[in-house]
Amino acid sequence: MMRRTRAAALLATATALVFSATACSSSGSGGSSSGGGSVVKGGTLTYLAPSDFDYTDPQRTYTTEGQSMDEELVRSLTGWQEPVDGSAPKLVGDLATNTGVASDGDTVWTFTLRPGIKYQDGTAVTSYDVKYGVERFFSSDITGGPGYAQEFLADTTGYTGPFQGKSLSSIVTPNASTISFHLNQPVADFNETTAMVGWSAVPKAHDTGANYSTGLWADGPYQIQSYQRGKELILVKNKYWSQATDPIRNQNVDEIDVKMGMDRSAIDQELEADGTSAQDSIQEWPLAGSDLTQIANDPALKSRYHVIKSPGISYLAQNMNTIKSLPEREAIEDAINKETARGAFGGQAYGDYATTMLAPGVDGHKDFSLYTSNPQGDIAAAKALMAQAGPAAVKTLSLAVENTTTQTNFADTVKASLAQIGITVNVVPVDQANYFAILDNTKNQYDLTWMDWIPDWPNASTVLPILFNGAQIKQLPQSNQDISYLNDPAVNAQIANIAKMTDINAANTAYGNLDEQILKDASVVPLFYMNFSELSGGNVQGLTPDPINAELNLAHVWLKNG
Amino acid sequence: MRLPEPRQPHRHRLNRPRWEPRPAGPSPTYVIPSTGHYPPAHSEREADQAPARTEHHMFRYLIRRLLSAAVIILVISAITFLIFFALPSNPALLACGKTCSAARLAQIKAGMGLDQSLATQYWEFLKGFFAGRTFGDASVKIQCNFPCLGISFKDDTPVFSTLMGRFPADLSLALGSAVIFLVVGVGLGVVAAVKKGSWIDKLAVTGALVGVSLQIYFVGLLLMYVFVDKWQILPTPGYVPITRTSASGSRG
Repeated sequence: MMRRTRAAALLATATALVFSATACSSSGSGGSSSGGGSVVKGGTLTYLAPSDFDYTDPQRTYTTEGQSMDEELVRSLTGWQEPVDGSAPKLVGDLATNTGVASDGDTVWTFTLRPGIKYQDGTAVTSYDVKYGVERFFSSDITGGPGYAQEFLADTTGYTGPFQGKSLSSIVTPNASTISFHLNQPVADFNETTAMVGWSAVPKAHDTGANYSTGLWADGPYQIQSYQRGKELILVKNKYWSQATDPIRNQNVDEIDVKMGMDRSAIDQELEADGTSAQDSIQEWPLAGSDLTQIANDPALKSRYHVIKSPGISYLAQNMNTIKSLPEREAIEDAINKETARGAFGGQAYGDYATTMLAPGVDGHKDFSLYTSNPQGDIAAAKALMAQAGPAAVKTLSLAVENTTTQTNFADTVKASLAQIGITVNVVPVDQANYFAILDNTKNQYDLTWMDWIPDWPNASTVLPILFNGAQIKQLPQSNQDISYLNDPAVNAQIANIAKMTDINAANTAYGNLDEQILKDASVVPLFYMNFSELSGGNVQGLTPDPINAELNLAHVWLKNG
Repeated sequence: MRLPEPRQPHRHRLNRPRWEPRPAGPSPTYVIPSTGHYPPAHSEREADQAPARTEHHMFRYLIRRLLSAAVIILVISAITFLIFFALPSNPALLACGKTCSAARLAQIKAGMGLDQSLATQYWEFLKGFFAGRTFGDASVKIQCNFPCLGISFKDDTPVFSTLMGRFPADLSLALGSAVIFLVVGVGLGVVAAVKKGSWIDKLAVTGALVGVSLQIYFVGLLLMYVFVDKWQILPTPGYVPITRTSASGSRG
């Protein structure tokens, strides 16, 4: 699960669809429609990145950009089919023939591999390689990746990975094309977990351990030609990849050239100017907040401007340990002026005002608004609540934000909002590079904390149980995600209940209600359903916003003058 | 207020060179005389004896200096090592990922050797520098050869090769600044010494003091603001490899 640097996911619902459809049709109007059969093959797509990926090793990458790039190199058991017309992403079998078969009350999941999928050397991908790949998650050298294998698989105690020849008994491979996972609990959406790139095949003979990021052995449409960490990654076509076996990707461009280390605003400017060198380029990071308003409103850039509706939420956590008065927390909910706050992040293009923790694209989302629905806030109501809180109200609060201009500007708007109800805010800017590592440590508690969250796959199960399970505070003192320190027995019990449900629709309904139950504690102020905005060069076609990874999808990309 | 008279007792000693200067005698000649003989033996001996003594002193001096340099490097490495651990950092946690269970954290900690005592870890580091080390014990071995400064827990590449990757930039900065300080610095120094007490001396000394006192991260930003943002005389700096063109190389 990712805080920003943006690891994975959402499903586009109605609102998201309208938006992505608009973005898509506008880019289509600029030239030949990408879906219209006029796709040109060839050319080199340039991918401008401020820095290197965390990892390309599929079991280690845990950022949205790493996951998104890996999807061109590696095929996971399941995956998200995202058509060029911008219609909703659909879960399909990728390595597997279908989205998996659950048995024993969602505790056993079985996948059958498609025939004909080959690595870059022409050898066939087997279920044994997938088992080996998933087992890599457990090695102490294969760090950084998601913890779902450890969390869900049965009988993992003491298991330390496949490198000393040990294998995991809960992954069963009766033949080269079948693989079953035995879980320690029912997981109704396990086949969405397996859409993350780590649930993929690694051939033992080509595994270079901690150096696998540069030596990755591809079975996707592209393979690594050269990789200088921190400088440049060049991908070329995997000639053994076959379109007939792949329901998700195309192989249009000849080469993808990732150039690393450029200044973020220099990338924004280069793409905006669309000079010769930028015309075949796309950008890794979204447009910076300071550039956003102007670029979003420039009609000349419309055909190259993409809005990606992420399933993510930007919010303000209220510390239950220090702001103990419920009326005071409710007053803060009402007092925050989300309009000025959003201005600091780049205005309307940054996202819609949020009133729930589950974004509209997340399965389980329920539309409700417990506090004022006026984005400017309701100071009168907030003052009344403060009066109700009386002497129990804490009048001086600390507020942690990243030490960037965008975030300190945002902090100033919160300060101004709360000054109106008699609360003094002390802003604490925290080092951006280590922001989440610092705030996730229970030693570092502030009264108010800015946070964001992008789920790994578009289900409430990757949001609420992680952000609000009070039982986890003690278990993960250094990587606590319950930043408001909510430890409500009723909420904890309901999280445990829903985890046991095998009917995914019933679980989703229950999650929607849980979201509302959590907001009654006023432990978080939902701010915005985050969007990410990016520019692409004038020749780049076939880009679709990928609301799962919150990135531009490279699966169908092609170049006009390729 | 007047400063007290400076005490002088060591002045003479301090000013004396650490090794004997080459005596001002007849310098050896290497031109073979027309007679076909070497110069007279006495003059050759006379000329050579002094340099021999000088080289002996020089040798001892160099050894002393090298030894003290080695001790200083050792002390600096130990202090740097300790500072790293004194700071609230936890590489195992950073490497672990966003949702890190206690068991997984302990496993990664052991994998990185962070569960060992500080002394052991430092000794391993020192030993590894010369003898090389093997990383990736839990998976596929990664060999780190002399001079091994360890491998990055972030991208698993040897620290030494990362440093070498940045070296061209360091070198070009060092060369560029050497040109400036040699020409401007030494030149001004000479002028200031010759014209002691003149306005140029005072200006040079003031300039040097200001330069020494204000740190580069302050002066640099100030200069960038004035020359790039305010007057727009210079372009925004960026690094251009020194091999490309010398003209654009000096921009960085």
